[in-house]
Amino acid sequence: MNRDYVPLSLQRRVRDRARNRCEYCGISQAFQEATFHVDHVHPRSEEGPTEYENLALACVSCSLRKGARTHALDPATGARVATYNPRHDRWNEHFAVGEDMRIVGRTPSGRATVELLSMNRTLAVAIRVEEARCGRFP
Amino acid sequence: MAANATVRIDMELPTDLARLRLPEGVDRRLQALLDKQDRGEPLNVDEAAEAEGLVELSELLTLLRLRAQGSGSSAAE
Repeated sequence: MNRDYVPLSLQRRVRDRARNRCEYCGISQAFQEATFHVDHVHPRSEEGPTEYENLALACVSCSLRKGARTHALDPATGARVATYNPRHDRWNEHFAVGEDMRIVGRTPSGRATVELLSMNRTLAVAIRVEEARCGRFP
Repeated sequence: MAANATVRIDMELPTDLARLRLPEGVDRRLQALLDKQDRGEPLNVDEAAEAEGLVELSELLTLLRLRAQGSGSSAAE
């Protein structure tokens, strides 16, 4: 695995800060099959630095869908807004978890991020339901 | 049988379903694709489809494992 551009010691600090949870959808690394990814929040393609304050832990689904994107459309208004930034924003201000374990965006940024990252795909919701049953989610 | 006939197959899930794991090499390939994207190199169409498939596979295995564990603990209650 070529992760030289994010030193392992830095990756460990990022995982510890996130308490091994995806900083976007909130799912825990425990019992997940794929290894969560350490992502640049502000993308490398836009000169985002490889430093602690610009990195976030993301599950493979959120990581793949976010990519280098920092803006997306708010499905409620069609406006292009900044997506949720785990380094600057508070999760609870932008998202809520419904009783059915679907994630609901509470702000334009939250709604755009839920949509961009496809947080409510059938498989993702089903995993959250099982995790909730075990007391590991939300 | 008509060409579009549906065949239903009932399968009993193995009791050791919780042992199904994502192979390490598959996880490493997915990490490599996410690394590439994170470095600012967009995935081509084939790579994006591969990454999407690997994410779905890992989530499916996660769900099977969680459900196997859940049904195991239910049975034990």
